[in-house]
Amino acid sequence: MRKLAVGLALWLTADASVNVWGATLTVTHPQSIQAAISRAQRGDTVRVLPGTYHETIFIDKDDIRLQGVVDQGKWPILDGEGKLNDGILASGHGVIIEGMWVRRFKGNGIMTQGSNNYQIIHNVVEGPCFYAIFPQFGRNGLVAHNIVSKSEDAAIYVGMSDGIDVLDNEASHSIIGIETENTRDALIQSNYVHDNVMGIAVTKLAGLPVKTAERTIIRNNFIIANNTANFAPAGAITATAPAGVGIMILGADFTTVEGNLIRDNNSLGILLSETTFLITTPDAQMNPLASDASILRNVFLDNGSNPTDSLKDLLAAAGRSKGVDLFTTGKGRNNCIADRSAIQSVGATRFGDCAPGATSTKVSTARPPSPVTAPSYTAEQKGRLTYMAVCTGCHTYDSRLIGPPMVTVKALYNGKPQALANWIAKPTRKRPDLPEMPPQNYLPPEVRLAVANYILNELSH
Amino acid sequence: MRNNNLLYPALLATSAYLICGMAYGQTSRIPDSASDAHYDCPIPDSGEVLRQKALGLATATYDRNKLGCAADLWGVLARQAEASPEVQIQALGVITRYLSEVNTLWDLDLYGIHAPEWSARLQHATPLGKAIEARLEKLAPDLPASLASRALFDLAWTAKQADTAAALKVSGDAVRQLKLATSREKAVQGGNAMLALAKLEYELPEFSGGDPARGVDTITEAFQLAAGNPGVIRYFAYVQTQENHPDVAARALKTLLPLPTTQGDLQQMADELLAGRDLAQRLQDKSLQKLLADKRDTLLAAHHELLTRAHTAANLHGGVDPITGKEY
Repeated sequence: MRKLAVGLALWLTADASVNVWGATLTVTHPQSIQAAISRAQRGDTVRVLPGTYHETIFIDKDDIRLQGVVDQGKWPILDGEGKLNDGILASGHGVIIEGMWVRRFKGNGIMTQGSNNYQIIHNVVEGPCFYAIFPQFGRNGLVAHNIVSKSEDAAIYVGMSDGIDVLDNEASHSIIGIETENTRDALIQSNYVHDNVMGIAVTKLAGLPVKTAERTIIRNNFIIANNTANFAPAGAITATAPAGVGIMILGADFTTVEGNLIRDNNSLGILLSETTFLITTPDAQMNPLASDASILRNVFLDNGSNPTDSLKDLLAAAGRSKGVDLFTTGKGRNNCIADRSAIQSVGATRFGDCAPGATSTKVSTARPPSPVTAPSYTAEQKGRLTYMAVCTGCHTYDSRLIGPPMVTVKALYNGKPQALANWIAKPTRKRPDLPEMPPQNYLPPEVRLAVANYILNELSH
Repeated sequence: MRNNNLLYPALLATSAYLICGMAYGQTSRIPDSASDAHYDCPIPDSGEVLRQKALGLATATYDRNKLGCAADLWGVLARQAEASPEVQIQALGVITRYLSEVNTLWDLDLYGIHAPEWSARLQHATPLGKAIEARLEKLAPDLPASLASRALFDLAWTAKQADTAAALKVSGDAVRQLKLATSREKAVQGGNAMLALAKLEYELPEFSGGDPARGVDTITEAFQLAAGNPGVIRYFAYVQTQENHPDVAARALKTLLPLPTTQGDLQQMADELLAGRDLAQRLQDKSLQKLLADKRDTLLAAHHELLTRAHTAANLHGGVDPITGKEY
C-alpha cells in the first residue's frame, strides 16, 4: 500500500521539487504536530487538521510535506500566543509547507535555513513578528500564494539564496513587503504588495557572507500605497527604509522591473541607489553600486504626492517639491530605461535607453529545471545553522540581548555539551532579572547537542 | 570603511541624509545599553598631569571609554586655553576621532542592538566639539587646519543624525571648507582633508553637489601628497577599483605593506589593512590578499588590545558563515 501510495504520489506530482513521497500521518487537534514530524520518515506527509496548536515545529529531515487541511473554512492554526519565538523552522531539503495559518510568534513565522528544493505555499502568516516568511541560504525555492502581514522587518524575506520564485503572494502592513537580499536569480511576480513602509526591495547588503545580488526580475506586481510610517526599532537596519517607496533597488545588479502597477506610493515609485546610500556598514569585499538595471515598461500612477521627510529634503536638493517615478543617485553603470519620456525621473541622465523590445518575459521561472543537489549537513553545520536561526534571536556573544550572553553560557557549561543540550530542552529560570527561556524541545536531541557543541567549542565572538 | 586617525569618513556623511530611523533616545533590543556609555574619567587638577593624561588616552583609539575620556579631557584643556587655536584644533581632532570610532562601532552593530549606547556617547561628546568649533570660528576662521578640523567634526557628528536637511547642508558646507583649506595648504591634516573632500565629491549624488570626476582627481592628488596615510591609500585603491583600473588599485594597496606598525593610530592601521585585504579579495589578487592579511595578523598578535572588528551574530544576522564556518 505504501509502495502504491509512493508511486501514485510520484505520478500525480509533476513538480520538479518533489523527489519521493511516502506515508501520511494525520494530526488531529490536540495532538502535537512536532510529534508527528518526529515520527515521520523521508517522503512522508504530515497532514494537520483544523484546530489551534501552540508549538514550534522543526523539520530537519528531507522531503517532508507539512500540509494543513482547511475544512469548511476552518484552518489549522499555529499560534505562538506572543510567547514562542518561531512557528515553523526547516533545514531539511525538499520540504513543502502549505496550508498553515501561523500567527503571534515573536521571531519568525516560517523560516528555512540551508534548505534546497523547498516550497512555502498557500499559508497565512500574521505578525507581529520579525519575518513572516524567511528562507535563507537555500537554492531552488518557491514562495507562492501566501498572505503575510505585520512584520517588523520584511514580510517575505529571501536571504542569500539562488533560484527562487516569489509568486502570487499578498504582503502588507510590514516594514518591507517583499525583499530579496544578496540573492541571485529571483523572480518576484504577480504579488499584491500594499500598505507597507516600502513595497519591494532588492538589496545587496554589506557585512554578509554573500557579496552579490544579481538577476532579480520584478514583474507584473501590484505595488500600491506603501506609505506606513516606519516602525522598526531605532538603529535596526530597516530603520533606514524610507516610507512611501514602491520599489527599492539597493546595490543589486541586473535587476529588471517590468509590467508592474506602481501606484499611490507617497514618496517615490522606484528608488535605485548604491548600497552605501542607506547602509553604512563597511564591506570592502563588495561593489556597492547598483548596475545593469533595466526599467522597462511599467504603469506609474500618483506616486510622490507627499514624500517622507528624508526624501523630501533630497528631492528639494534636486529641485523637486514632489516625488517622482524613478529616483536614482546616478552612481551605477549600464542602467537603462525603456521609454523614458513616459516617466518622471531624477538622477537618471546617465541611464541609457533599453534595447527596443527588451523584455524579461522569456524567463518564466528563476528556479532551475530540476532539483538541485541536496547536501547532507554535518553536525557542525547544523549546529551553526541552528545557532543563527534559533539562538541569535535572543542571544549575542558578549552582551545581554533578551537572554544572557553566550560567554556566560560557555563559562557555566564548559566541557559539558550534553548538559547544555539537555537544559535547553527544558530550561529553568536561573536569573530573576531575565525572562524565562522557552523550551527548545522541538529540536531533535542530536541538533541540540550540535548547537551545544558549537556554542562551547567553536563560538568565539 | 575607516578613515584616518583624526577624521570621519565623508562617505558616512553622504549617507547621513537617509538615516531617518536613528533618532536619539528611541528604544532598542537592549533597552538598558545606554548605561554602557558611562565611564570613569577623573580630571586631574594639575595642568601638566591633565595634559599628559589627555595625550596618552587619545592614543587608545581601540578603547571607546579611554577615547571618550580623552575627548572629555581635551574639552577641559580647550576651555583652559581658549585663546590658543592650536589647542582648540588638537582638541577638536580628538573629539572627532572619538565620534568617528563610535560611528564605526554603530556601523558594525548590524541590527543596532547597542543603539542606545552609541546615541548616548554621541550626545555626550558632540556639545564638547561644538563649543570648540565656535571658538575656532572666532579665533582662526580661515586657518587651513581650523577649516579642515571644523569640517571634519561636522561630518562626524551629523553622520547618524536623523535630520536629512541638516546633514545635506553640512555636506555642502564641508565641501566648501575643505576646498578652501586644501587650496591654501594641500596636505593639511596629513592629507585627511583631501581624503574627506575626495569622498564627498566622489560619493555625493551630483544633484546634491557631487562630482565623481573631480573626486577621482582629488584622491589621486592626495595619494601623491600623502603616500604614508593608510586611509588615503586604501580609498585611492577603492576608487581605482570602482573606475575599473584594477592594476592601479593593486599597486596602490601594495604601498600599505611597508608602512610602519609600531607607532601612530594602530587601530586605524588594523582597520585599513582589513579593508585593504578585502579589497584585494574583490580584485581577486590572492597573493596581495595574503600579504595584507599577514601584516594585519602580525599587528594584531603584537597588540592584543586592538579590535578585530569580527562580526557578532545577533537577530539572525552576522557571525561566521554558517555553511563554511569561516569569517567573511
